[in-house]
Amino acid sequence: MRNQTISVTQHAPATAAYNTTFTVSATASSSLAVAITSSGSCTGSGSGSATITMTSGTGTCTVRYNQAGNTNYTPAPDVTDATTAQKAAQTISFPLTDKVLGSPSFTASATASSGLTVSFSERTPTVCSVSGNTVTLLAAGTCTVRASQGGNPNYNPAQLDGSFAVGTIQLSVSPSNWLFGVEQLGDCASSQPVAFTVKNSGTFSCTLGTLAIGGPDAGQFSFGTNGCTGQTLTSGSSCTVQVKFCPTSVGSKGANLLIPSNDPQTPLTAFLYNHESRAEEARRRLPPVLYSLNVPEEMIEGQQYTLTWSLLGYDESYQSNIVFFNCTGMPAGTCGAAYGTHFHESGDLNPQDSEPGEWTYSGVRSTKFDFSYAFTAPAVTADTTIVIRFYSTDQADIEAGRASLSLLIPGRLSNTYYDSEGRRLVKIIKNQ
Amino acid sequence: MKPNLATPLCLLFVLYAWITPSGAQSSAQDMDLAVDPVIRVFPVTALNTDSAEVRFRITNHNASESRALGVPSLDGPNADQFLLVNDSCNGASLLPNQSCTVGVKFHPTSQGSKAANLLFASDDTETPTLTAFVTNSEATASEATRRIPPVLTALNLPTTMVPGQSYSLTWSLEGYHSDYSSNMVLFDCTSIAADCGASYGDATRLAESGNLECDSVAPGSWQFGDVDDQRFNYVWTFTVPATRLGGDPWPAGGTDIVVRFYCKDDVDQSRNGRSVSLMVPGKLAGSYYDTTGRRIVTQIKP
Repeated sequence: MRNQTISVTQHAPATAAYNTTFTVSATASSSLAVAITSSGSCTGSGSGSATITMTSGTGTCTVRYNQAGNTNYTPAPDVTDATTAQKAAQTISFPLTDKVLGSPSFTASATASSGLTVSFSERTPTVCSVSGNTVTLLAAGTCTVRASQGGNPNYNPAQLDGSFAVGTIQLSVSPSNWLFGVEQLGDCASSQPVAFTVKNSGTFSCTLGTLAIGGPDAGQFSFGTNGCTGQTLTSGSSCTVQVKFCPTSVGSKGANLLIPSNDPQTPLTAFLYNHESRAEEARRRLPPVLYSLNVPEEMIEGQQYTLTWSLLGYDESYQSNIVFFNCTGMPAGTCGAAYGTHFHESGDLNPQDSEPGEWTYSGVRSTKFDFSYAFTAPAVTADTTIVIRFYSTDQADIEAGRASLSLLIPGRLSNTYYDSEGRRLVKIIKNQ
Repeated sequence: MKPNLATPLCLLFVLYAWITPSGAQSSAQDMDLAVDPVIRVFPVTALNTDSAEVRFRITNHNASESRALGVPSLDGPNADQFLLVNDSCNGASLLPNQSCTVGVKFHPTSQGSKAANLLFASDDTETPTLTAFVTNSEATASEATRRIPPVLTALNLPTTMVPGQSYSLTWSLEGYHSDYSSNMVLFDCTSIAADCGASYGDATRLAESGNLECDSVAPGSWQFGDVDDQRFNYVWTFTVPATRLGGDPWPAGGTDIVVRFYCKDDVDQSRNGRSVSLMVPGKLAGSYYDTTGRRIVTQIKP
């Protein structure tokens, strides 16, 4: 019997990752076939060569080369290779698309090459929040969501930050309502068209659907030129659609201009109508007027003055604000030009009293609202010119939280004006 | 001579006359039932909470007949975003000049622009359904036209005019509507002790430009949000009559003339609406005739 030895012609690698394969091969000096087996963190066998597959990311893979001999050869000494198992890398696929702010929350979906479950976390909490798999849009910007897979004994952890743009579709229609005029019955051709402009002030493009007229009297209105239906409005762009009032009968009519789009929040609507009450007509046409103004020409520093004024108008109520501007050092014409430069103001005051006004508008009586404010003239180092302005807000705008607006001051008053629009009265604070 | 200034202000606020075209026309002005307000813009309201209640008043303006109301309802794209409350109109029979009210609250359940129609069914044959509109959004341009009235500006009016001479009188209106027409009206105050020019219809109305379309339009100097206003320029060539109305000579020492301005925006032009009196701004070389600044005084002096 002759001895024999095994020569490994292709050794196992020192390390191998989970789920990878490698090939080993060996020959015997006897030329007899070498049996190759594996154990531990791998599997695979063969004769002369074998493909070994790593079955774990930890431990050791042992490859054993064996030649048992035959009638002419004694068994060869076994040879072994040891391969240290390693965790495999994994990758994450995380497809995302841009979203319109206002879209419903959505379920994030990502897959790991390992097949293991992926979890999510928020990276831009001011733009979007993440709870479990649910992503909620909070504001316009770039939303970044981290997709994570923590790994296991066979795979290393992996993570991927996915980002998408959160944009806005800010669709508006102007005018948002229109009071149509008198039109001939049954003569739509001669009706005066009114143009409505639809504008996208958002950051994303917006696709408009088919514009329609709905509501109780939809049949009393008709489209003229329609440049909006089916249009895509890019950011900042607009289109125009004409609507005509085509009455077939007398009386009050009301309908809606319906502007469908892919804006998830806003089925845009304008109101089309031909009627208003006398009271509303009075409010629409006749702004409140400053009235019964009692402000001294000169005020002495440190002294308190009760300043009174009234607003005569047709709304159910008004708030009013008296605002003071110091003209010292101001270039000519600029004193009191902007509300933000004031040194004192009453704030929005509610009327102390009201009584029927002296105006009527087609049977609707106005109301006079009386305001009062105790003003202490500030200390001055020399006689100082100040400008006084008045602001007002009507009941609907008070409720809507809108800012008050500057009032015109009537012409015939015993004091001077600072501008040609009569919005700024000039007074003096005297130095004592 | 300046007339007495102690003038009831109701007299000062006289509106320009209707000019009603002939032919069959739609008109909502004389309908029996009216709702007030027709439109209400609700304020920002937190999701799933109620806004303050807004009351809509239905009035029967028919002087002799009652009107029966049906069930008020909300309709339209976002009807579910509004609530009806405190409804005294449901099934009501309104006597002449009687009213009822319905409250509406805004109750948003999602973000965005919302709108609905508030419908009032009735036995008014002309208006079987009266409609009001509730919304939470208003275009900035609409808000500007609603809140900011036009202002008379750049007035060029001599303080003294001579009979027989022509003057090119110019003024402008600055505002947010797409158009205005304007009328300058002059009143002869000779021998008027008080209230000169109190009413457009006064017999002392010496001359008027009539409702003029503007001579030119230029960008204005105001801005409301991202909306710019416009300045509408008017020109009227006025030749001072050689004599007063009726042929009397002008007083040798001159006489006061009250000048008033009226205007009408595009909406009211289309409705054949009347012009309304304009306030005249404060800082002018001329003098004023009333405390609401609607009348200024110039002179005609031979």
